[in-house]
Amino acid sequence: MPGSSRLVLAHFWLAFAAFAGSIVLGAWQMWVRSPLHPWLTDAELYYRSVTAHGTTLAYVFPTLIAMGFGYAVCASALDRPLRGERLAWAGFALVLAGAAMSLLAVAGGNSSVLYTFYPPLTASPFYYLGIVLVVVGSWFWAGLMIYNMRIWKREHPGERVPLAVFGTVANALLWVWTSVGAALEILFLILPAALGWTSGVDAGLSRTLFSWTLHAIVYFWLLPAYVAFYALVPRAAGGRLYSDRMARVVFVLFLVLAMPIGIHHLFADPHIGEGFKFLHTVFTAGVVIPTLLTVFTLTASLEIAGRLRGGQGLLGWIAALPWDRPIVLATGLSLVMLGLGGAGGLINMSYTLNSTIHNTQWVTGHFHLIFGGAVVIMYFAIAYELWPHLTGHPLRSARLACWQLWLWFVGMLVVTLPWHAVGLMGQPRRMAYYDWSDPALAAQGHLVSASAVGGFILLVSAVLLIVILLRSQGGPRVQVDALTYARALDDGSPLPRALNGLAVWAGLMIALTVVNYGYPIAQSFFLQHNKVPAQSVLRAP
Amino acid sequence: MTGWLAAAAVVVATFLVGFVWLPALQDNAQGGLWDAICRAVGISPPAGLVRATLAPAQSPTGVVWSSATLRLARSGDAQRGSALAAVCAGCHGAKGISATDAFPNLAGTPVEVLYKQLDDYRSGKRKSPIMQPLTANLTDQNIADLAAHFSAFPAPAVPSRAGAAAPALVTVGSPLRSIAPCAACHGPLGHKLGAPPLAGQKRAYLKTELDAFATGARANDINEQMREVARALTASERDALAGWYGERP
Repeated sequence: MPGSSRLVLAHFWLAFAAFAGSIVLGAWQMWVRSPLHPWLTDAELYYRSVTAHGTTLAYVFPTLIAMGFGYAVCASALDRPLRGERLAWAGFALVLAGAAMSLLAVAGGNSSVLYTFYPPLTASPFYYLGIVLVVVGSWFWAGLMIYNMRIWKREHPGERVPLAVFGTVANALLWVWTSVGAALEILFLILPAALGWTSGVDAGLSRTLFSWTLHAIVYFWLLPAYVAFYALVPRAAGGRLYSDRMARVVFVLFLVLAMPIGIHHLFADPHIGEGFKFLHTVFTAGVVIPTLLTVFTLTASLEIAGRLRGGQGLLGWIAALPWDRPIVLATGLSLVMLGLGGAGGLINMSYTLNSTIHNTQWVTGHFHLIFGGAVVIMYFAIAYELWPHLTGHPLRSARLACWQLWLWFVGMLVVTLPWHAVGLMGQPRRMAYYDWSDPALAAQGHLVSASAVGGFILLVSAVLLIVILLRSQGGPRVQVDALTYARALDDGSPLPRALNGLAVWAGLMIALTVVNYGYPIAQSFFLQHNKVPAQSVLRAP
Repeated sequence: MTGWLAAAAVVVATFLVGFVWLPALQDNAQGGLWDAICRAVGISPPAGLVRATLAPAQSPTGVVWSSATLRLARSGDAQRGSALAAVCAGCHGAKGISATDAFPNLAGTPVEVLYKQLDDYRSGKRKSPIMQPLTANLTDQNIADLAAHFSAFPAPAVPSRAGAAAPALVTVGSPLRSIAPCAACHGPLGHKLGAPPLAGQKRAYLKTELDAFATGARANDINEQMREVARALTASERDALAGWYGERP
């Protein structure tokens, strides 16, 4: 790709290094809280580990992948070097420094508040400052994505913005707006308490602001996978994208609907009026639309590929697809996990059904299946797809890569399906140990042990990933063709202006946020019930 | 255009259902439609506010951990406190390390802990024929100053436990009996406001207080958490815990 290879590689390597370390912690956590291990006598070690695992895998890893993939898309799809590469390196440096600062604070044992912060708990200020640095670094990326698309459009009037760039910039806009909630929470509520400037935290307002970020951040993680679904997979499968316009509709719908739905994380919170909970439930249901559009378009695109490859009959095209290509296999496995996780998600977002599984291990199972499974497996596939273009070395052994993807898929199901089951039995989440001698928990013990085995399958898969990427980079150098993107069946037909830019949709996103979050946030300025004393988790207070 | 209208219609319908229709149908609806709408938005009518129903005599303590209480508890002046502390020194030691086993060490105890106990003695929520008269005439500021004074001394040395693993009750509790681990509130696993550090405290004092919580003779724990735990412990467990934390002779 034109320039930027080193920049993208730096992002991917840092992301995968952080990822691999966190998977070790994840496997350890699953083992120590299962019946296979005696109780931890220092539960703080468990929470310290969970904090490092969550902070890395929620804030550092996906952000770096979105950034690196975004730069790669921008340079290759616009077919020219990225404008502002020095700023991009500055953003990378901020993410690196912030991640190091946060994780050192966690390792020191003074920041075991879990990555969702849980005020009124307060940790070492360095923990929060590190996360702020990571977010600010990612804003450099978002600004560069928007800027590069703008100047390209100005220099190419009337031309359609490549779909991959359109999707990436939609994600950048979404991220800038969605990260504002947690940034406000940290800067105005948690940090002042952590620094000792205030003695209390408005827990209700903190949770409301975090929910602003908490759900949309999931779509920020998801959209790079969707860019791959639409722009890379149909070409890799040997076909065409079924509809470029449909893909754009999906991206703008995510932009608009990702934000005004976060209160479905607060169904049990008394400070939010039930009307707003209902409102957010309905908007959350709206996300079904872009999700099902994607399932349809992607399946149609794969069917085109399968039939072009000689597949016959109602389902024969499925067998004709090139399942030995990592990104095609990853897409198939991802769709299975997306389907299962999506079905569970419908339960989470229903105001009444939610009470069955609220704060149980079901929820942990849900987000591991959707993010750790359906999304992260596409991150692997993106890396495999980009690696030859970034390094100039071919991917050594697509077979091994397929093994790695299969292991991840199996491991993730072995981890998360038992979690869903024990969640339905009532197992609470965020527990360092369970009393397995209690007959009431005996039925859950086997399931928890099984899921711990899944954790180690995932660990093997993560090691394989690193081995494959390292081996490929050390291999012989070859001439690699330029990275190209899928062509669409409707490439020739006219594109509505509204689907070639994002300003209108970003405006709608902000307007809906104001409607759906305006009062729940404003109420904290005149209702003062929520302020509670800060609780420091510093080991020696 | 039709699409926009349809989307707008869905939004309007959602508002009507969520803020008017469903709230009006609720069983616990009090008042009219307007009250129902206000509740759905999150504004409770004043009468609907939940108020504490305990009569004052039944509440375990007069201390509420509000920001104002914390500000007050942390506003003490150790210098002024030392002038008031002369009377304390007889039992608790001039530097907060008491000479006899029956009286607790105070040195190095967090100000919030000392503030709450002194306030509880003054209000009679914690009974003591010695402490109640001594605290009866203290002001809030006196209490904060005394807390600052004793908190500033170095805490007693932690007893040597070479090679001994902490009892399970300390580190993991006993979930089957709903007993939370001591260390979750008293440190080092967690530190809860108002929960004193225990290591190095007087053994006999710890045993007396645990027994008092178990019988209900002491009842100034805000959410009855100490009475719950102490009742579930056997007498020998209470003894062992006092021994684990307590100052070794």
